[in-house]
Amino acid sequence: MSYSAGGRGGFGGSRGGRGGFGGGDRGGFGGGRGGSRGGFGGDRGGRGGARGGARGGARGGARGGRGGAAGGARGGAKVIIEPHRHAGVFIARGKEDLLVTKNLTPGESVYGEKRVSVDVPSTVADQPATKVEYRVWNPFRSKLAAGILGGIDDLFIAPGKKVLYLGAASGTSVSHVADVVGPEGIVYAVEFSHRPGRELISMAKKRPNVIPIIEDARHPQKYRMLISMVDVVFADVAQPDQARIIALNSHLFLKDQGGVVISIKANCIDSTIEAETVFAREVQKLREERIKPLEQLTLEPYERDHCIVVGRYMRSGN
Amino acid sequence: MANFTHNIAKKQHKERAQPIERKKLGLLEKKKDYQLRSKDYHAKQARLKLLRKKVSERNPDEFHHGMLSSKTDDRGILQKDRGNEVLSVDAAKLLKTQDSGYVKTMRNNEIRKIEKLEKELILKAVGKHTVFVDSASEAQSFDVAKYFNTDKSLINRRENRLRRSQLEDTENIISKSLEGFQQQKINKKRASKYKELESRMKRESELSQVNSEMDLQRELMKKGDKKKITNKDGSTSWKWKKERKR
Repeated sequence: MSYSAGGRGGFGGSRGGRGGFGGGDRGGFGGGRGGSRGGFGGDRGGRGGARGGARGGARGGARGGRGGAAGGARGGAKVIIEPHRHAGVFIARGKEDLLVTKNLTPGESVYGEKRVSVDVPSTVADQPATKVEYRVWNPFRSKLAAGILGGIDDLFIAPGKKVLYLGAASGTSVSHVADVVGPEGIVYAVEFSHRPGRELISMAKKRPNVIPIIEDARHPQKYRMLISMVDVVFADVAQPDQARIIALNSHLFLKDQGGVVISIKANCIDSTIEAETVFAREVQKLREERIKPLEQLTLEPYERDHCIVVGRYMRSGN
Repeated sequence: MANFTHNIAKKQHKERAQPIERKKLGLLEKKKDYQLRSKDYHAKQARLKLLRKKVSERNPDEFHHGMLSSKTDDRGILQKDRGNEVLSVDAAKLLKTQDSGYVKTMRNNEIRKIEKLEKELILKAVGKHTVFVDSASEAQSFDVAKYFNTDKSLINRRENRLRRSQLEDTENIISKSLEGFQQQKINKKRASKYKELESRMKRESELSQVNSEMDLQRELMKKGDKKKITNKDGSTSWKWKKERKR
């Protein structure tokens, strides 16, 4: 649910397929060659050694003392991690500018995203530096990431917070939210469709702070036993009645003064009228449900006719 | 009667050759050669004289049949058939599908490369940011830096407006950077990536325009009632008559 059915999703799928095919083919070839060439191994090795020695010598001479310093820096210091306005989110500046979150399960990607690891000098003297791994958060795939880069003031999602995530889809954005809230926080991820739900569950298996719920968000009573009061409701459901869905869940699970973050796709609500009008109507619906709107942000250039609305839930009315 | 003089006794006549010092002028011209050259020259002069006379006496209003069968363009240049074979409509249609297929492939290439670059870079957000306030007076006295609790210099840095407290705390973290030399190199690489992305985006939009134009041309070659519509902004579009396919 968190993706529009546009070209982007389609491309990703087809590319994955091709990668698999190529890999299998090549693997087969390699096996064959290895067997037939075995005999030559000794001879070649000898030659290689001689060459390597000569080259190494030449390089050392040319570069002199500097070579050592450059080699050391090549390890991991090419990236600076810049703290972000929103705690738990970072920006990695290097050859590339990347929005990243600290990986809760180091060494693993959830949906094939890039990882960046950075050396952190240990606080205790004489101890080797530890490595911290970050996962890249692609704003073209996640509306929340697009909102963060667009400059949302208050996200409500922060370390230690409890988040109810409606419309979790296959859990790509959820995994980043789980990174942000950290081991002390909890993400309740609700998704109705089974197919993306399966991926969500397999992601949640590796993250203790994600609780996957495969239920219809229109009927929060069905999963009320699983959820405690939450600090923030994030919704990316893309349904015509999404304001009602969000209100139902907020009334049941959201604490007073809690945050509501909603991603609205104008086309999914009413494709016959202008996006601006759709957004205004949705905001009005939220007001009627005791959610006080704080800010609204359209997601250009990452998405077209999408916006994120942030509000505060006033349980006793305002 | 037979001639009884010995051949050997006869004096051989030798033709004069071009002297070596005048060799650059070619073969030595003889009278026979001169006569040929002269005749040719005078014939040409006579012909030119005749043509000049004809031109001076020409009647510009005289009728020719060629006037009816040939055309000139708006600059007055004669439009002539270049002898190219005229393709049949079907053949042209086929070739146009091939062209459009190529353009489509190139466009997909660009799209894929753009996607890859977009993943690596942070684009400048241009979305409209609305802040809701309680009253009109509050809207009047709205201060962006105060609302976002940040420094004025960071207001336009939408991807990361650090809070005041963070600026005080983490100043040392941000100012800590790489060795100057290396930083420069990295910055250069990053800048070139942004540039590449921009040019690829431009190229992609151009290709998509070309592609849609090609598709339109192919559609226009098909049968079916259609009408050209000139829009208010001067652009043209086509409208087909509604027709049941089956």
